[in-house]
Amino acid sequence: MSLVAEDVLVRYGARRSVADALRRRPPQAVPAVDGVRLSLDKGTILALVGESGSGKSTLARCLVRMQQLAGGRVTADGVDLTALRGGQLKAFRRRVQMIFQDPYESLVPRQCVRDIVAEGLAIHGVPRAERDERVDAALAAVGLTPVESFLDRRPFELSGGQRQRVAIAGSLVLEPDYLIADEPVSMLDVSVRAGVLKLFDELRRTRELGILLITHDLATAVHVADHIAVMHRGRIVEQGPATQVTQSPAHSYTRALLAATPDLSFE
Amino acid sequence: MSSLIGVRDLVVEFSSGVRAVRSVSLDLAPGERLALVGESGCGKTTTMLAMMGLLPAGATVSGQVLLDGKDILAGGEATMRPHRWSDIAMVFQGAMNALNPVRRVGAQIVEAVRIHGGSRQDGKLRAREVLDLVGLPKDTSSRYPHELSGGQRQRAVIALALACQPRILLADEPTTALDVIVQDQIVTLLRQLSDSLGLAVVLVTHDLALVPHLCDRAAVMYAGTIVESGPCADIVRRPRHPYTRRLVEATPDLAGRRPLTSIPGAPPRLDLPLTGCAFQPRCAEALESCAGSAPPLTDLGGGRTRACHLLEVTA
Repeated sequence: MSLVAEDVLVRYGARRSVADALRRRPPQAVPAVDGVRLSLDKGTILALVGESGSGKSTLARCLVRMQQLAGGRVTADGVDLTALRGGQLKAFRRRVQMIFQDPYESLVPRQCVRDIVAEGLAIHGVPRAERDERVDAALAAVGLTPVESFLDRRPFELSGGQRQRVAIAGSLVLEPDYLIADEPVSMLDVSVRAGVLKLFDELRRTRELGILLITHDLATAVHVADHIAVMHRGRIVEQGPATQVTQSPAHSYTRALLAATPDLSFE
Repeated sequence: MSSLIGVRDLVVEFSSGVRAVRSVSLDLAPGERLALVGESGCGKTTTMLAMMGLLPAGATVSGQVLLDGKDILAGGEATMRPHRWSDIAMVFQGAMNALNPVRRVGAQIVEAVRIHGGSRQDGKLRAREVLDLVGLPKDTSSRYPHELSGGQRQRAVIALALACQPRILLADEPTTALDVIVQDQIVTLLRQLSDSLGLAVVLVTHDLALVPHLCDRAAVMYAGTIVESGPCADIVRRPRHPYTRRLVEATPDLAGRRPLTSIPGAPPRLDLPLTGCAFQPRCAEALESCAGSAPPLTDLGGGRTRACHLLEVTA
């Protein structure tokens, strides 16, 4: 079971100047993702590492079918995402969940935690009677205990780490197979980062979740990921087991990233 | 050590009743680089704003800010203003929002120079100089902030801080929104500027891993007080306060051999009075007596201080 990108190509149109438009020059297309092959297996954590603008988030959007491809395809367990319609697409949306970088913006400020987490259940037609129980279980799974003390709170009453946990609970409640997490810890304090990363590790083991962890920090990646893929200018320049990529990097860009990563084990 | 700027027993209480800074003292020598490290909400930024006299109206401040031995806090705006930007400048958190979006970068630098007594011509000259200092191309002067990348914007904010040739630069989380490659460039830039201009730097950060790359000394803050200070390399290798130890353990290293641990619990509420050691409820090593009285910051020798009741574990 895996989520696979095959030679995925995404182009963004660059802006044309008025002069170019008058001369009817076609807009220049910038390849944001340039022929990427990637496979996310269930029960593993794959870290996607690279600097801003390297195409990490665009690739993530391709994997959840939020982005039109200019070439290649994305398949979930062998089925092309573009072939999904109606009920199948809805089922796919349940199975693949996404978490965003900023827990201050990704939660609706007026909703309480109970409603935020239950929203997905309502959309996917889970009977009302079942919802409360599943919300409780999801909140407990992300470590927001005692659950009763969190249910009626609103996002502004929570810390950054707690908010990110609510966002994760909102995706877990649907029992997905894959989690696409776009910089899930970069807005959080170091003291709570480890907790969220540990939670990912636990979910991989206990729920066989396949997690794509997008980050620009190789030190974070090496701590939780089984595999690391390094992305640069829309291409994956290196991919391999986490410790191999960080300890014997094959590509010069990976070496540059390593050199720029601040590290406590400095000489 | 001759102190360029010193903070003595600084206490800041906001009108909401939050006592964000609870007695902070620190010293900075000319050209020295100090890191102020801690979780969000521990009073790092408030300490910096107090040093600039930029706290919101309604905040109660006590203590001293000594510049060349003279208290500039006591006289309020009248004593602070001649020194703000001319002696002490600040790089504010979030380069995205620190620049005026509807004015060209050059004009913003000129404005800073003119407010502090220079002519328009001085300002234009200075704008060219500082943009060059921070490694931005000449035409940046005529650009709007939205035309710059995140890293360029951060450089422009640093250039703006250098406009009036300050001796002290307070850098509040200057790299938080940037990716590692750009972060590395900005840290290198700050180090070079400090070396070449003899600029004293205070780096405010929550990322302990960043500290040894830029700073000589580090002070770790928790709940509005400094709990440990000393030479950077020393603090990171041999932290002597339990909180610093937990921070080091929570920071991922590239070797990936250590298991990561988070710090259980949350920092205390700062709108309530604290009794005893502020870290005690989260401290695994705490003794009963830790809840009784707040530990004083004591000198451990070798330039290190620590505020903890526990006996030192000598490993």
